[in-house]
Amino acid sequence: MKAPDTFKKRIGIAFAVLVIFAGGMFALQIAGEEWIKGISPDTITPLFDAGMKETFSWDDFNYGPQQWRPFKEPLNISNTPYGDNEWYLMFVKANATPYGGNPALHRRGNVRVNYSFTSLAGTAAFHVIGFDATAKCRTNGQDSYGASSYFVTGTSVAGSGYTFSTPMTSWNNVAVLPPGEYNTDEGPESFYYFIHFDPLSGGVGSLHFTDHPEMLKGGFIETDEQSGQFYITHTGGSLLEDVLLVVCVNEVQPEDFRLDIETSFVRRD
Amino acid sequence: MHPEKYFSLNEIALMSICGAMIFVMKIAFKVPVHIPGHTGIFWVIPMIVGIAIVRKPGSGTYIGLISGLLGSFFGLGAFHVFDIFSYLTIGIVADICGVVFGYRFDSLSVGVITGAVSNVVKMVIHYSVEILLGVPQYFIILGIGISSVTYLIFGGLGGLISVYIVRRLTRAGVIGEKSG
Repeated sequence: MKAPDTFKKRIGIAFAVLVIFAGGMFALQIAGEEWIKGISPDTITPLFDAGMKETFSWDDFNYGPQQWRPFKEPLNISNTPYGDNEWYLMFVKANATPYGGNPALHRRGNVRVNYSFTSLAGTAAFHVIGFDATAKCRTNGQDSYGASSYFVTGTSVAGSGYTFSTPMTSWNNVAVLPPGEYNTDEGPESFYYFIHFDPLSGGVGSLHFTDHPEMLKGGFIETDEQSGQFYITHTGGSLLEDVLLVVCVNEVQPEDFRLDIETSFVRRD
Repeated sequence: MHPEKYFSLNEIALMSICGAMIFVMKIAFKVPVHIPGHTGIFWVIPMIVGIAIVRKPGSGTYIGLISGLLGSFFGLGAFHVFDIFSYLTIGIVADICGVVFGYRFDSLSVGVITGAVSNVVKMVIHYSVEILLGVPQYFIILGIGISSVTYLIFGGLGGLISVYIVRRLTRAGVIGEKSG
């Protein structure tokens, strides 16, 4: 039985509308690409580039002792255990975000971190967690190609003071509290960061540690220099809106321990 | 008009199951292909089959409402509470397709069009919510051409599968013959 003419007409119109819609969206995309070319990336960048300068003390390590850092599954803090491999963690708000994606969309640059330890006992490890535009987290790789992190070894004697730190309750879908920012009228909850790694895609490998900004992928860097600088770099298409620097130490720090951190955004072409 | 008089108890149960199936399929089939709109290949199936069986205006809206409520409360994706808008709109649009084409979901063209339109409407609502939430517009515009095509293709494929299911259900006597 043949379908009525009106039915066929409606089918034809519907297909035509869908084709016109797709064509219109393509035209919009092409127009958008031309529009973007005429805009300076500086004017459309919503990223943090203010940087920060803070001093942290021995009792700012508010998480641990534990052997892992947050990810969709527990990720080693160090592949080569230092001491008994029990680490204390703190999450430091970097207030600057690296970007290594399309230069037409955002200004590309790294986050430079200047650090200075006073009376560091044991080893300190730096890792990073970035929060993308959809609130999913990214972190630096721990194994295989593209893995990187930064280690500093000190010579002080470990502290014997009581620490208020407690191990994190979970490695994913967990709130963390950066130190030093929660004594406000709003209460501590306002400053918690919710760490969420996609259980499928994960989000490892787009952030890196390097001491040479031209070597974006970086690598494992170990030093006994108590002051120095490194860069947090970004590769890939994600857009990070916030970055937490994860500072881990494998000993209870002495009371005269100090960690000065200064972050800044450094533009690159 | 009371919904329980407009829809029979069987129809309400069936539409609720279809709405729940959309939610369950979205949870169960996590395919990491990273192509925009790829989920349309399966989630339009319960929607179209449900409308094809009930064949009443409002059936798609009901299915969309159920899946949207489940998605909002249990968190299907990054949009959470906003999922209700997208799934409700999808249901309304699928309803309109059903009425316009006289519930001829045994026709390949109708299945493909309904699936494609539903999936594309989902894209439009998602992008609207993203803009509303402050995602930069150029981020969306730069991919919207390719996204609209992939949404159309995957929605159309889902609609195609639905047609074969509807045909088998019709042959099995689950869906009554069209009265005209």
